[in-house]
Amino acid sequence: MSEFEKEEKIKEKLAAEFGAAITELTIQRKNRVWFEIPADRLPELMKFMKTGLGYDHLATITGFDGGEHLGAYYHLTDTHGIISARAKTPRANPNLPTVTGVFPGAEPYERELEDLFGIKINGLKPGRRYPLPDDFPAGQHPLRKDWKLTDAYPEEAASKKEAA
Amino acid sequence: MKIKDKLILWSRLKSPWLLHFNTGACNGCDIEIVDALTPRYDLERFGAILKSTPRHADVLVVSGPVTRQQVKRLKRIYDQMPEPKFVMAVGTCACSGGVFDGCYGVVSGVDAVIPVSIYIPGCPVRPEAVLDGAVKLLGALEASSKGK
Repeated sequence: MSEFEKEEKIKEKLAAEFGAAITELTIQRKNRVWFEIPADRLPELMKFMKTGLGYDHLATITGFDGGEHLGAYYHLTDTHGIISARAKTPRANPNLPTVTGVFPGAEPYERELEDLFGIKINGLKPGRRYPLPDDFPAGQHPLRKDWKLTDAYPEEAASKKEAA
Repeated sequence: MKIKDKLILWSRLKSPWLLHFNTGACNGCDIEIVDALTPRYDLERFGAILKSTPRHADVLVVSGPVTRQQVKRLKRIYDQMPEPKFVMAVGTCACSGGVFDGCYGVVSGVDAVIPVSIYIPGCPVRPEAVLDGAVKLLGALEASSKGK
């Protein structure tokens, strides 16, 4: 696999640092690597990516709803490649550690996870809600797959049905 | 019609002052509204002028679907305008919510929150459509006062 020399090197370095914690590592193509890591090792991983591997930019965090698990992809970039680290958390009690200790700019992304997916971010400093409106019903997380508009606004959806 | 009323109607028809409010538009319609005010299309030839306060405005020009965060603000601005007041819903989103209808952050079109006088569809609206809408609004206003 001489084609993916750089990517294989990243794989080796990650394995040396985290051992068996890194699972499902795939090299999709040149400069594109995916893997999974247990949620509690995220801050440690971010620190290693930033200082050890030179992937010093957290481009974004994207949440996902995988049925039994909720979770997030942490997309890290340098000037050439993108590495996406996935962390899962059980749907019954979803929580992830904050990575704002390493990347302070992750704060809005983590607030989005809290608001839109209902994933509790441990260690995120208190602040006003984002990005949902201030008067949005509490405990409603619109980007979960089983969420419907009727959950949050029953009377509004009823009036729309009458009109149709 | 008394001479005083005639004078008021005349001044109303010849100087519809606008207040532009974006309730969550992508800025496409906002650009077209500004376009309609430029010398090329020249909405100002009808006496329209863009004001920066609702207290001076006769026509509220609303673009975009109404987001939940903006509902309170839109109502408040509408309440601050002096009577008689008119609302122009500019663009498909303002008319009906458009593609954003049913989204968790969006209520619907402008008419879900305040009464709308004229709907101008388009995505984004053409400046000609804005002109046409403004002229029709003034025409309707004139016609409705004829019988008195």
